[in-house]
Formats: sequence, structure tokens, C-alpha cells
Amino acid sequence: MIKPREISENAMLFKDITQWIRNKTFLALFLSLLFGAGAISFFFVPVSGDAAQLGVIAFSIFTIILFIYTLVIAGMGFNLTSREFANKTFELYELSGMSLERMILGKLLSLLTQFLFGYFCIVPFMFFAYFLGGLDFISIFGASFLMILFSVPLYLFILLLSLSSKSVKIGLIGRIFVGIVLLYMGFGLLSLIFIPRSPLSGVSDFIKSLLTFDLEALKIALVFFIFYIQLCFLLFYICCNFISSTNDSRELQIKLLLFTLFLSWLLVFHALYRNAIRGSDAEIFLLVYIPVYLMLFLLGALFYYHAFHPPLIIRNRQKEARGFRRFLYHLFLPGARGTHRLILYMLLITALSVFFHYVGFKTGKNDPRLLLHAGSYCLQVPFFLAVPGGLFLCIRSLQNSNKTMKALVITWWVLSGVFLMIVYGIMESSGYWRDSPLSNLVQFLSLVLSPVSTLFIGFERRSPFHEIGYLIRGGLGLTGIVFMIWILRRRRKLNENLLDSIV
Amino acid sequence: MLKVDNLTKDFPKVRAVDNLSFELQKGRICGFVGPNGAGKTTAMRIIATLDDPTFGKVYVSDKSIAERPYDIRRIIGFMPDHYGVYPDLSVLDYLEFYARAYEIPSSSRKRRIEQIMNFTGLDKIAEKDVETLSKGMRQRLNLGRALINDPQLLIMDEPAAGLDPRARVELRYLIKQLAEQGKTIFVSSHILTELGEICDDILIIDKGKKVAFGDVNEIQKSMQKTFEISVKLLEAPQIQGLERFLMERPGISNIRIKNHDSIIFTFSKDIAEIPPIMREMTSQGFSVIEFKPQMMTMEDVFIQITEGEF
Repeated sequence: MIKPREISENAMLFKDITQWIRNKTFLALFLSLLFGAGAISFFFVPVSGDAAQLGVIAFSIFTIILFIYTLVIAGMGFNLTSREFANKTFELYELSGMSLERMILGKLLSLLTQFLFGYFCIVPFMFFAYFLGGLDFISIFGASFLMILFSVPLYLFILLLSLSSKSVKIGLIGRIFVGIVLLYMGFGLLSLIFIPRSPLSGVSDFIKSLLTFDLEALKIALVFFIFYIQLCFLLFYICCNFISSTNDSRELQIKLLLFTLFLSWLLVFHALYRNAIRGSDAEIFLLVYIPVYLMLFLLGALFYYHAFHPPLIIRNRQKEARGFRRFLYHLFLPGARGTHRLILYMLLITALSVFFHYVGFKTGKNDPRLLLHAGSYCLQVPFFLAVPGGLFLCIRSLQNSNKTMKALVITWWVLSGVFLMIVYGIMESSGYWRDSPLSNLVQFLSLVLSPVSTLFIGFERRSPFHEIGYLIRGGLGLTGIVFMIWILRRRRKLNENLLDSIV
Repeated sequence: MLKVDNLTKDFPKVRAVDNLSFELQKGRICGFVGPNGAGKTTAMRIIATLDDPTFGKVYVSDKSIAERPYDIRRIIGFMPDHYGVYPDLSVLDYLEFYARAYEIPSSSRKRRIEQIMNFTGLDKIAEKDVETLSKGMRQRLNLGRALINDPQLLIMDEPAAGLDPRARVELRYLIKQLAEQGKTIFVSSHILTELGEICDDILIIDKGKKVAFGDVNEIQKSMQKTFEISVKLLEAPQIQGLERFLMERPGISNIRIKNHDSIIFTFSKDIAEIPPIMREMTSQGFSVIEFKPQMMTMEDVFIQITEGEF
């Protein structure tokens, strides 16, 4: 539990807030927010018109201003943190004995403080929109509350991007990516705002339902908060892991959170929305299994090609752990062996989930093969983790270079997937190549070479492999598991001597 | 205070530190010398708990760095060769930040910061932006940061690099003062003469391997196989006699007369045999007003060691 004193004494919070206040943009932002919002309010007061529209338009404009301010804070936070990370400043913070959690908590609290500063400048004007008419109090309260709620994962995501690479070039790609994501979110928000009666009325209705203890609304709120909190913690610990030096990690926490997210996702669907599963294989996949698919890949990408043995400090913590902590260390064992085991557990649970739904589908009116198609995508994950990673292990220079291995595997997934999708797209648009043997070959390669191309091309109904797709994927998944065991043994052998000498 | 036992660090294509072992006693200043790429920074980073060793053990105050890195960080100060970035932060805020990071209680924090600023001479620029400081001032600030937790062991990686002569003298003075306070200091530098002046011990490494370690004077003595000795006489006519006198003595060679009243020669016997020669000269009636054996500098020692071994 974090004590208030720990927050007020947080060194990172102190530093970032001090830097923000001393920055020249601080005063400019403060004055722009205040005078901008004030000027808009004065503009709206004498305007006569449809009362139902005036309030909504004023509220929308204030929301846009707040959103732009949110982006400016995110951009400033990204710049400062990525510069600190690239220039090894975090190493100096670490030397002080400050925990990784305190560093990230301080960064997050600083960004939230900066956001809330702008928020409280604008919120009074948002409530002013209430007097212009067309909006109820609950809508305004709900919308402004949602902005606070979404600011936490947004800023954690920004921190994660700023800490994802020490390389300046990758940092630039990160900046472009952040820009695109934020713009996309911005347009999404704007389109929601300007769709009549869409978001605000929806939010308002939802809050009203909550206030009347409507069971369905309470269920949705509960499910939302379960995932919201886990996702925030997951982002938080991934950030911590990124800044940890080579002799520490937060692997256990990330594995634990990924597993609980994975379990709670499947449980929620089994317990609450099982009967809602309808539609094509692609729709079922998107509805139920895409988070499972992504979580398996996230686990694999982060830790499968990680150092074979965790740092000594982690092994010491593991040795000293008692009771429930000892059990956690056993289940979410840091290092490649633990990752391998956890992936197998998760695959087993996914297979059980598919089987459970399959039985339900069989007794219903749906085609049960659609579910097998959708679920089998998750079962194919071991193949992508093991191939071509296992082949890279045969190259001597890569055998002890985990970072390069990891980067190569991820690059392979992205590049081969994008390449196959482009080739397939060209073939599909040309009448000549469509349905040709070459097109079939590309479709087959898409199934086996990259998780990206598999997703985009695998659901193509005209594919000759569509009907037996689940069998191919299941077979590849089993092959992948065999490969994974081989990789584990190989890596263990490569690291054997190393571990003996360290201990 | 610091014990390094068979420390080895492998990178994918190179062994940066190779079975390095040494022990440093409390309150000593140890210079850490080696050519570029010898593994100094890697070894220092491991001792400072920033990297894991591939093999070997390091103990600071009897605590293993691999097992208790967080405890060790509280009792060491590390000055790496980089500063980090601190836009829009004053010197005072910078120290306040690190004092909070080290969890120095708010009741004593202000006093500690004042002490550090006075010691490092940063008090006159307390409100200045960190990013606008000169290299020398930044290095003082870096030292201030490393001292804020009152460490028992101070590790300094190339603290004098890029400093002007005045800043180097000031830094040397600060290091001496810290040693007088009982702190153990482990400092790497390329400026060997400076290390020779301030260090009690010296550790020389090349290609990750220890080449020499021990008391600076002892190493200098053990490495010194020959001495250049210059003798100046009050009465110039005696110079020929002195030349003859030296030619008859064993272990003396390469005798040169300089400016009619001085003579330089090479002595290739033990240092303990120099005083008897001096005594004999005076007893023979030579009017010696200067007798100066040229001791080896740290540069000479370093070059001799690294040339001999590799």
C-alpha cells in the first residue's frame, strides 16, 4: 500500500514537477488554457440559437482543448523520459537505491498532476456548458471522469514507449508511432463527440443505470474495472522492467499479470458472455480469442528469448521466498524455462476453453468448426515462437545474444508478415494470379511464416486451406511445442557452464 | 572495504574483464589504470552494482554485490563518465532530488545539501541550471551527487577527463580531502601523474587482466631497475675528478657532463646503494650542492609494465 508521505517524498515526482514548472512552456500553457476557455465561454454567452446544440458544441470544444493539452503533456513526458533513458540517466537514479516502482510511480504521478492541472483549469468551463443547455449534469460529470480514467493507461503507454529503446533512431520511430496513435485517438474522440447522442448520452445512461443499481450495468462496470486495473498494473510493470538494469527484473510481476489477465478474460466470457458467442470464425476470434493470442505473443516476445537464467538477485529472492510468494515464484518462474512452462499452461487452458465452447456450440445451432478455426490460432503460437528462432540458435554469434535473438524474431514476424500480405494483396487485385497455384503457395506461407500474415490471410474463406485450417494450425502448434522443448534443451546446454561458475 | 575475487565479464565477442582479483582497505585511495578498452569501466560498473559479473564475486563491506545490490547502493557513491540529462533543473533542485532519492529524512536533508554544496563549492551557483554548467562544475555536481549519501566507498570513473588544469587541481584537492575523512576511493584516470600524486595503491589492468596491484611507492620501487642521477658541484673544476670517481664505481654507466658543473649518470643497482655513493662523494671532498636521483613516474611504470607483458 502506498502511503501519502511516500508520494509527497517521491524524488521522481519532485524532479519532474520542478522541471515542468521551470519549463518555459508551463506559463504559456496555463495562460492559453485559461484565456482560451474564457474567450470561448464569452463567445457563447451572447449567441442565441438551439439550446440543445449550444451546450454540446461548447462542451465539445472544451473537450478538444483538454485533449490537445493531454497530448502536449504526453509529448513533453515522452521527450523527457526518452532523453533520460537514452542518456543513461536512469542508471544514476538506480544507483541511489530508488526502486523501479518508485521511479515509474513518480513519472506517472507527475504526468497525471500535469494533466489534472489543465483538467481543473478546463472543467469549470465544461460545467459552464451545462448552463447553455442541451447537456445534463451526469453527462458532463461522466465524460470528465472518463477522461481521468483513460489518462492513466494513456500516460503509462507513453512511458512504456519512451522506455522501449535506448536507440535514438528507434526513439524517432517511437515518436512517430506515438503521434499516429494519439492522432488516431484524437480523431476517434472527436468523431464520438460529434455523433449526436452517441457518447455523452451513452455515458449518461450508463451512469444513471449504475446509480439505480442496474445489474447489467454493474456487471459491465465490474468487468471493466477488473481489466482496467490489471492492464494499468501490467503497463506499469513492463515500464519497470524496461528500466531495470541487467541484474534485476520485474519478470515475475509481468508474468503474473499476464496470466491473471488471460484467466480473467476467459473466465468472464465463460461466466458472463458464453451465450453471446455468435458469428463467423473471424468474429469469434475477435470477440474471444484475440486477447489470448496477443497475451501469448506478448509473453513470448518479452521473455521467451530472454536470458536463460534470471539474474542472481532474482534467484536469491526466489530462494528466500516463503509461503504464497514461494508458490508464485514456482508458478511464474523467471527465465526462459519458466516462460516455456507458463506458455504451455496457458495453451492447455486455451485448449480447454476451446473444447468447452465447442461442446456448447455442438449442442446449439452454430457450426462448431467455426469455433475450432477461431481457437486454433492461439494453439499455433508455439510454432511462431520456435520457428525461426530455433534456427537462429544454430548461428554461433546469436547463441549468447538474447537481445539480438529477440529483435530478430520480432523483425521476422513483422517483415515476413507484411511482405506476404503485400504479395497476397497484389495477387488478389490481379485477376491473373487470383486462385493460381502461386497464390495458394503464398497463402500457405502466410499460415506458417508469420503470426501477422496468418491473422490477415487465415480467415480468407476462398483459401483452399480454410476448411482444414484448424488441423494445419493444430499440427503446427504441436510441432512448435516439440521445437520449443528442443530450444530449451539447447539453451540450457549453452548456459550450463555459465551458471555453475556464477553460483 | 572492497574485495574483488576472480571477477570476469564476458560480452558476446569479447572478455572485457578477466579473472580480476584485488582487495582494497578502508581509507585508501586506489588508482585504476589501463589503456582504452582495458575493462576499467566494465569492472567499475560491476562493482557499482549496475552489471552482473559472468563469474567471480565482489564484496563491499563484506556484502556480495550480486546478493545485496540495493544495500550496497546505499553505502557507495559512483561517479560514472556520464551525467545524464536534467533540463530545467537547478543545482539545488538536482541535489534535493538525489537527497530524496537516497531517502535522506526531510529533517536532515537541507543540512546535508548545504554541506555538500559548501564542500564542492557549488553554493555560489545553487540557482544555476544544471544544463548550463561548465564541464568542471558538472563534475563537481556529479561528485556532490555521489557524496550525498555519505558513502564509505567512492568509485570514480575518469573524473578528470575533459577538465582544464585548474579544475583538475581542484578535483585532486577534493579527493584528498575525502580520503582524509576516511572514505575509500577507487578512481580511474588516464592522467597517470595525477594518480601517482594522490593514490596510496595502484591497480593496472590490460585486456581485462590484472598486470600489477599494490602500494604506489612499492610498485615504483620494484619497477625501477635503473636511476638517472644528476649531481651538481659548487666548484666546476672538480667535475673531471668526479667523472673519474664515478667511472671506477660498479653499476654506473652513461656518464655525461652538463654545463661544466653538473654530471648525469645511470645507476643500475639497488636504490639502497645510492646513499653510500653520496656519502663517499662528500668524504672525497667533492663540493656537492645537489644530488637528485630521478624516480620513475607513473607513466614510466605503466609503459614499462604494459610493454614488458604484452
